[in-house]
Amino acid sequence: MIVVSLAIVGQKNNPLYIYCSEPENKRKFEYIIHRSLDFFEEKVNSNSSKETKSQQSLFLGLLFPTETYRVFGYITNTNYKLICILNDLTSKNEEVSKLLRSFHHLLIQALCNPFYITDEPIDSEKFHNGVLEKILN
Amino acid sequence: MEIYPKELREHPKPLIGIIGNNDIEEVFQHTEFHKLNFLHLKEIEELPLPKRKNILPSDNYHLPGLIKAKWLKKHRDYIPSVLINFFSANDLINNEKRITDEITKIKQKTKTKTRMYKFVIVFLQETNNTLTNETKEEKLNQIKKRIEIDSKQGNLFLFSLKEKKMSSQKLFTIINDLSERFYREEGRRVKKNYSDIYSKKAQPDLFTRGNFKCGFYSEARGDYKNALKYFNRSYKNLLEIPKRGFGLLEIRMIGFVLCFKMISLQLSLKNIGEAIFIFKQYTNNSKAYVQRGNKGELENLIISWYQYKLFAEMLEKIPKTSLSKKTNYWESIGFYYHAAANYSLERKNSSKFLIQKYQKEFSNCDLDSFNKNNNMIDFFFNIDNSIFLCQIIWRVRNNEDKQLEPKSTFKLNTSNTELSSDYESENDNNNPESNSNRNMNINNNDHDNKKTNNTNNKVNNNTNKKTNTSDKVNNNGNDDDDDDGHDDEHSNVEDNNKNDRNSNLVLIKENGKKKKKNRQTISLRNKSDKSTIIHNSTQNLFCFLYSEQQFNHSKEIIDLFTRAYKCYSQEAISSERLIHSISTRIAIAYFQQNEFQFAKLLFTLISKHFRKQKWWNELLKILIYSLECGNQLDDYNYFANCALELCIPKIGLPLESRIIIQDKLFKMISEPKKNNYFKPPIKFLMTKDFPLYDLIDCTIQFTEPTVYFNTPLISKFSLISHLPKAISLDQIQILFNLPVYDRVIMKSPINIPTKGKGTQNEEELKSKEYIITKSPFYFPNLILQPNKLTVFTFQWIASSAKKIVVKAVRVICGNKESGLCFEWVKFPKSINSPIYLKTFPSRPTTQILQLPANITIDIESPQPGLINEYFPILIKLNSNQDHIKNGNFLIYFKNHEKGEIYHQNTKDLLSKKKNKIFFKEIHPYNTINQVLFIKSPITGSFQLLIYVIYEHKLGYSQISKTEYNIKFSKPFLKQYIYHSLSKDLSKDETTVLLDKQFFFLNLGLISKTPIPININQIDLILFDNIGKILSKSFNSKSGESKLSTNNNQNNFFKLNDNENENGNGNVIEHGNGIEMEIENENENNEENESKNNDDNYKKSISIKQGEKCEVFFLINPYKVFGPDDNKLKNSKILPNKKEKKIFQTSKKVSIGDIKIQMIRTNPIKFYSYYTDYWKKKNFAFELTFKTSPVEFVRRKVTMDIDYPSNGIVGHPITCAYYLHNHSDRLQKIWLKVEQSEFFLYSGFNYSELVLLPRAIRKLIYIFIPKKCGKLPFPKIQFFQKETSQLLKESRKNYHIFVSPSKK
Repeated sequence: MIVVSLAIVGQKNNPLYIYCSEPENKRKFEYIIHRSLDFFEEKVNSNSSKETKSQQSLFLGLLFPTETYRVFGYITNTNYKLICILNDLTSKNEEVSKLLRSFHHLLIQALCNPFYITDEPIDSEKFHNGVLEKILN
Repeated sequence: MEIYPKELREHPKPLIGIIGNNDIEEVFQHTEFHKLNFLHLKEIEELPLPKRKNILPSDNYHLPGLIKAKWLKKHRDYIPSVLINFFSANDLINNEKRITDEITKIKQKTKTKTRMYKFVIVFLQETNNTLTNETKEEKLNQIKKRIEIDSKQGNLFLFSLKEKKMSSQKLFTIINDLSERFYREEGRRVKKNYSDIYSKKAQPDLFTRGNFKCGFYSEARGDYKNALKYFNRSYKNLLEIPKRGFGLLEIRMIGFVLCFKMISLQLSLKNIGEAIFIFKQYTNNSKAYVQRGNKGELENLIISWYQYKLFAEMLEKIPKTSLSKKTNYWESIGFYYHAAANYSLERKNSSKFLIQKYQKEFSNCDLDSFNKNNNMIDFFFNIDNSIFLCQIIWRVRNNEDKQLEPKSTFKLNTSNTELSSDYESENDNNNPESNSNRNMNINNNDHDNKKTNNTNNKVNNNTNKKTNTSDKVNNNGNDDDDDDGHDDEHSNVEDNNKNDRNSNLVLIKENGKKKKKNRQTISLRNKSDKSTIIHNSTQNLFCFLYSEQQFNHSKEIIDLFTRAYKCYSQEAISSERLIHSISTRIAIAYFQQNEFQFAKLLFTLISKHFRKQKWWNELLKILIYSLECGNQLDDYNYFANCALELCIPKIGLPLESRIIIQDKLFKMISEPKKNNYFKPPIKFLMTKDFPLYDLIDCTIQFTEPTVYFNTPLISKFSLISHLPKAISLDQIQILFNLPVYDRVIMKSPINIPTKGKGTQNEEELKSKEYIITKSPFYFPNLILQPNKLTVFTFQWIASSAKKIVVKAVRVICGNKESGLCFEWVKFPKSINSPIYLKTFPSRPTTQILQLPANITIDIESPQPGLINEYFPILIKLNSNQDHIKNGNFLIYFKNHEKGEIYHQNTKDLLSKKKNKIFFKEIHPYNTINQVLFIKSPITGSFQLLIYVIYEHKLGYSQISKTEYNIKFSKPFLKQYIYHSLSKDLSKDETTVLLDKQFFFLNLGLISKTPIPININQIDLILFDNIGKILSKSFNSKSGESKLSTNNNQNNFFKLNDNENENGNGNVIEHGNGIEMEIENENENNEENESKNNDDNYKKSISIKQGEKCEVFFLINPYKVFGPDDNKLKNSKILPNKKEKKIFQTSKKVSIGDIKIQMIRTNPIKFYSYYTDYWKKKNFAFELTFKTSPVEFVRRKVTMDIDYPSNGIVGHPITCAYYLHNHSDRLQKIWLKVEQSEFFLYSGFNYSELVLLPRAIRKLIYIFIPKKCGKLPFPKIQFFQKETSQLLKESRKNYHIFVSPSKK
């Protein structure tokens, strides 16, 4: 399971953090991330009738596949969106879900930082290192 | 869709060959004949026959090419399944032998060793034929038996023109059955050959071809399921073929054809999901067949673009109902168009890259020759040997599929069932298909030696023979090897193609050790055309690139993106962002096509979305394009907008680019361009559409999010300009939800941080203080440097108790030199600061300043206050030692809603809103007195809170908070009035009075008010001078029921000094009213003042609760009954006899109004502060009422007396008595004179008089006084005879002073 890109999108669909393993393809990944927000909306709207949201329901699963990548989504209760682009077409949902949950914990820590301004891009080094650690491991 | 070859695009139809030129229109009347294709053959010899090849079964044998391009076309258009020959039914009898020979010939011709054509001999039976059908059928059976026609091979059919429809239907059934049989047999034969001879694992290429053919035969006979099965097998076999470098593209293309065959079949069976699955599978598998290198990548891009576009078009042709619900990304047609557009975009970039790479060599080439000959197909041909590849790519690239369509077919018009022969000779030099067929024939063949010439090559043209100059190269179509050992002869078509060869490139592919050779065969005709020969791969590459260069990529991209956009817009899948990104691509494509106006429009629309959602990278891209659009269109404002937006750091433009843009921007602004100046001002109004980033960043920081009332609040307002040039700040406006900024008392020291480079202006500004009284705040000559933080510090004292919200911050700044002006508004959503201010006036305060001042508040008026009375409150502020200044003393009230508060000095009404009083300072050891008056129009209890607060910039002090309960009540006096002839109230007297009789009007007052009432003045105002008030007196006593007596009268009230001097006792006359005064303790002290003041304001009498007082008015009512009768008589010369004069005997009237004015009882200590205004108005209550009515009785006869006031002893005194008869009748009067010891007189003692109506009689008596002194007159009494009533005089006792005589 190779994470080629990870993105955190804010409550107002504004990008907060984008990690790209391939800087030369950053534009491409940004496009995919931006596109995936449509699928978030679609999935969230379709699940809105369900009253309770369990922890599992935060993980939206495979949003859409492209020819070379698979895009997974995770939405927090506060409407932060985590988008993970994988190079591995055979990756399992459980593994990805676990990975995204760990990113969610990192995000919470970053948001709790008193120096972080809401809705501004996350430029915390600690957060970035945490993301790298999770991805590389 | 049109770009896809027809033989691949459409399902094959059984091909039926018709021999001869018979008129056969009537035969094909059945509607189902459109399911068949027809081929016209003049003779049976034109039938292409398979040739036998001696190929031995071998495991090493591999195909030179997987599938020949012409194979499909050949079997669709040239090889008939059934041959039909027409004869006349009459010939059965007349020319039986000839017919038998012909049938035998056909039978022999159609039955070859490997292939068995089917045939149908149709005998047309005319209507006028005399022979019966039965005899003819017998004849047919005889012929069948004679020639031994197998029903599996052919049939004889008697077509009755009489019963056309029935016969036509029967004929169709026969033909269809035979056709099906033919294709089935062909399939079986191919299948048998492959399975018997070759190994599946070792030779998958052969199996690919075999299954493909089987699939085609199944498809031709309409068995789509079987066709799918064979195509699928063929595809699987294809994937097993080892990936050789040179064959990758061919394998991919064959896979492409196979998959699209399967897809079209699945779509025909309405299995859309299956079709999508096949496509996905194919796209995944085809990735393995991408050749490395630039060329390979470009090929891959072209093929990918093509396959996605084709698939999208195929899906689009499906009825919409079957694709209505799209729940999957892959089911969206837009997705495929979108993918095709993306590949097209990449292809464009890739070809551009290659052109640049080979620019030098490319420029040296003769590009015209490429254009003329269109020979770029050779490039592919050199790389790979696939005929299909050549065919497809060539067609894709040139979009000339129409020219490739076979024309030697019968097209059946199903509507009128007319069969038209559109057959045309393909001997056309300009036909591109001929080129393609030429290329198809160029197969490298490693079995050249084994080739055998076709013996049936009878129909070859002479020209063809001429072109076959080379023995080494088989240019004949019959040279093509077929893996089943057969080749078909269709010389009429293919051989003509040979004439068109301008150049012939033969590539001999090496298999293993074999070498690849290019052979050129230059046709005789085109030998002179020297520049068109392309003989090496490099040139082919250039040819290809040239073709790419000629291709309109942008148009294609726009078209595909537009199609994708339309599809996504129509589909149910939510794709808002996708649509936006597609729109961006479209806009860029328009931009690249130099359609800047439309591109600008699109960019403007799209940028809103990205700006709103803060996708800066996407926005950056759009802005750069927009900037260039503005530049190209000379739209300076638009350009400047984009440039400024790009300069904002958040956008993420690299610094170098930013500097370039800044320079360009200011150059454009400051310099004229094409006689066009930059149009100032540009307004950057950060509205909802434009709220995301700041040309000027602003933050407001408050010291506390919540502040208490009157707490100084420090706010820091920091500005940082991202504009590229310094601008002067003109004004800042902070907009609150309430206009509280009016109350801002502050000043603004300006702090510019030391981080930036100091300038002269900064130093100047530091020393300045701007006193701000009102927003907007103007800052003249303040310059905002780019990218430097400027901080303003404000101190506010919140003067409102309500919640304060900063709605927006507005900055107006400009650059006068350039004319650039910004109006910048920031809304609170983006203000990163606590912006809510709350004030809590009722909360206990903590920051109290220690002030050296004692504040006392006196309420001078006793409780309760009277309504409509000015209730005074004195507030005294004493300073012990210091001079208190630089602050505001604030007094304000609460809870006085029902009353009105007046300020003493200003006389202004302090309303509910403006309930505050300010005064600035207190001098040391001095006192400030503030007097307020409260006036209430209604009774009740009021709670009054008085706050005295000292405000200062450093803090504040709540000096006192006093709470009062003030009761306002109405002064209530119970009054009673009666009339009497004496002041002694103990005597009972009737209230019936005679006219002109003096009487007393007694006014009694009893106080019911809980506070003492000071009665200042009581007035009796008589109506119309009804009489005259002769005297007034006042009597009051504290007590309950009894009225006062004369004993205590003088102790109770004091008369006015002036009136005492008159010596009229306690009865005084002073106008119509009576004024009272009581003794006052302070009278002596204030004597001087009281003299100076108005007299009306010093005398009053107090009545406590339950006390009573009386006022007596002595009244002479002399005009109760109107004007005097005498006067009337005198005024008129002659009395009017008609006039009826009614003598009014009695009248009950109210004689006048009584007006009582009351003021408060206790004197006000601080009345020295009063002004004249207050003095005049200082009465509490005024009571006015009418007196109770009095009944006056008019007398009929009255008497008056006239006598002197003094006399002398012994001297006579004349005394006159006037008797007046008021009535209209005679009145008899008795007169009686009493004797007197003091006077002498003469006359009757008793006498009777008669008075005429309305007459006056004068009686004169002379009295001679005998003694001196004050002597009473002798009594003379007059009685009215009728009533024996004594006529009374005005006065009872008449006295005269008699002096002694002078001696």
